[in-house]
Amino acid sequence: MSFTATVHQNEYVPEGSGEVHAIVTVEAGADVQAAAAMERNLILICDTSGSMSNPMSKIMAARQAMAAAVNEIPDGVRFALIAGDHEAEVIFPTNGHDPLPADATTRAAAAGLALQLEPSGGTAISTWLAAARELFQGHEGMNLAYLLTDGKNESEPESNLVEELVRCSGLFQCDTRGVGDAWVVEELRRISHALLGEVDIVREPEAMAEDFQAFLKRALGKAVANVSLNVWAPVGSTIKFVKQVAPNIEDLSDRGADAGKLTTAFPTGAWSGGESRDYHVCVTVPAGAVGEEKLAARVRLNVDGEDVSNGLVRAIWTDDTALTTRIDPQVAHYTGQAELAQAIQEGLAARKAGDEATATVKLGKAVKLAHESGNDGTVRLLKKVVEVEDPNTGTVRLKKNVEKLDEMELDTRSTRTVRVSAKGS
Amino acid sequence: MALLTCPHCSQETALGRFCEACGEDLPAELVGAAEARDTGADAGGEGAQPVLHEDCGGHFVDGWCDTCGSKQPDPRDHLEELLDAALAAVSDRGHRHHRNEDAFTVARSEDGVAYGVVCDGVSSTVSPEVASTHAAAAALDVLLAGGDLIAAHRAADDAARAVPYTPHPELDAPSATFSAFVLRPDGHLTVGTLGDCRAYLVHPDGTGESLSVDDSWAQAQVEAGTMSAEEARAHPNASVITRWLGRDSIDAWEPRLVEAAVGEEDVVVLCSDGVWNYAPEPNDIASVIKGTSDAGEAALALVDHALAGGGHDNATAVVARPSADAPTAPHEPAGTTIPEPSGAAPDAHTDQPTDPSEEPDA
Repeated sequence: MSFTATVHQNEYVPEGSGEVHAIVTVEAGADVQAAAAMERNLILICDTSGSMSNPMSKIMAARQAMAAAVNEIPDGVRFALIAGDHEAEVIFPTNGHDPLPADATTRAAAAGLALQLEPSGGTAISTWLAAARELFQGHEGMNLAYLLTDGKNESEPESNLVEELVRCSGLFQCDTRGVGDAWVVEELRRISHALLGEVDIVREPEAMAEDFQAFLKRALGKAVANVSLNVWAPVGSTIKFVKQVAPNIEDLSDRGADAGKLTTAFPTGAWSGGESRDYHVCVTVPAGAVGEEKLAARVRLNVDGEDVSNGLVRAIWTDDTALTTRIDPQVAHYTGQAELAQAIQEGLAARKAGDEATATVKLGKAVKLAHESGNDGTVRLLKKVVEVEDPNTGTVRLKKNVEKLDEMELDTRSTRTVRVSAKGS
Repeated sequence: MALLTCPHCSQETALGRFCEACGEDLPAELVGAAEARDTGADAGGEGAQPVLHEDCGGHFVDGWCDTCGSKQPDPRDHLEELLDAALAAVSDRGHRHHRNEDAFTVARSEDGVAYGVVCDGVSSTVSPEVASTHAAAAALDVLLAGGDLIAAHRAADDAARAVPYTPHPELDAPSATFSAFVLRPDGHLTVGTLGDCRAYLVHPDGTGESLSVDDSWAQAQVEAGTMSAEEARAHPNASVITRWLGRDSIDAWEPRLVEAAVGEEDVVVLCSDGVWNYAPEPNDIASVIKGTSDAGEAALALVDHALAGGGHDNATAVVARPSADAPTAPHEPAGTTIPEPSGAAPDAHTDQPTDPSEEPDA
């Protein structure tokens, strides 16, 4: 298996300082493949609360999408289906226990059951996750879940969800999807964040099938589970933050676990062959003397306890301000992308709160940052929410009538980044 | 567990004679490498015995302390080559730079000709220490093969150009300055410089003479008459060089050549700016090496003087006299004072021998 790590940084640090930033690009070679013996477990969780019948086309599309997805699961991959409302029901396997390996019989049985999903009741997502947790329990290997909902987690106290996420964390990885415009972006983002998955929006029920398929394809492409980004930093130093910054921003800082030998392990979720992710690492090391050179961090990808790549982040103290004031273009770029995501989220929150002045400033800043960095996808989403007068200065006007779906799509996808482009300065 | 990717089926297998997945033979060298890697991972290194870092009790792992992060000391940080009493070189990283980007080469041919080369890597470029090292080595090879200084410069430039360079947003292609001399036993000296390394001649009366002209912004201002030497030296651009070796050098650039007749008791000094910045005038150089008994001591005195003065840059000095058999100390009158560089530690040179018994007899 070949993984590589490339470090981008300005290693020159001014006298008296110890803060070091680096972007570490980790790439999995095309030869990164799943071990033949690896067990794969897949659980699809579908919202079947009462709101899924409003309109009926929603539950009909969900049934079709789920049945179609089940039919695509390759032989040998273990799977289960959960229907969720104010409580969870394991609809397949019918005995409610361990996921079963896919074959012609199990696929047909599960698809048939999926087509009979009946919406009723409320929404208590912690119960869905708890059901998934029990199914995954005792299964090691690649445990992936897909959770689709159309509404707010309204049938239970928030603390239930928070506590259940702690129990699930580390056992399985979960992508979340919100269909329509009645769900809460922040809620699904929290679940995905805790369970190392991605959140996305499915605007129309008809798009569910395609999204299911895409998820399945990605899930089956995952080759190695139990992966963490291990960051070593010298005695006396502090890891200020570790963020994934490409393909999307995900702050990993709160996930760090002590791995001994001055190393903190940040779980990354599963990897596919050929996959590439960028991380922004910031550490504060004890300031050195001018002329001194130190290792500020080792950033290693660790698969099943084995380090597979090694990125070195250095610090060289100098009194030459021409050297210390340079900002590495990658660090600058991703710092900008993080500001972009923040500006969008704050701008949308301000608008929701009725503070149009702040919303205009924040979303204008977002337009400017997205435009400058060549993040065309985000520019396009922003243009559905604001009228852009001048993208170079970030001069915008809030649109009077904005579809809620457009705002939610912008919010959900605000963390998507682009890599340094020729356009970026 | 020790694992290996089988070259036949690309599956992972435990180490052994055969692949567990496809049953094919596993090449012994792959198994050996995987074993070495695993042992290394356990010991925290590349399989070698880790070196203790005495300051903190940690160990150096691939060049870095696994506890405090300090860089493992580099032999290049301080280099001395004392060929004989009349030819020596010393180079030091200094106090303010994280690595030594200067490089030197020295040699004496069988017929007694002394050769010295000093190249100073340009800090604002990628891998300057590689450029300077390769350039200095290439130049010496040409000189030893009988080539002249023009040919030596050409070889040095080619060597610097050959250093790999991936375009970098901030740093230019690998570059270094060039300086070299050929000193025959009969005292015939040829010096070539390109950039801001300097050559000096120190006479037995304790006076110094400059043999080189800098290719620097400051020198250009003085030559153009836009500034006095003093004004130019104080300018922020003063140390910017106008010629160098490397892939962005210009083909037409050639070293400035100087020939001189060196007396039997004269001393030739070739040094990087990290040395002459602390002894800018020829007489200052002469003062620093006053009282030293051989080329090695003189070279060390020049580098130590720079370090004591602040060591702001890498400091390298090559010192030579015409004949290896020549009498020892350079001769100068007593009472010459060592110039105090700004910020110098007091009594910086108390370790230098100044035994009056070594004073000249005539």
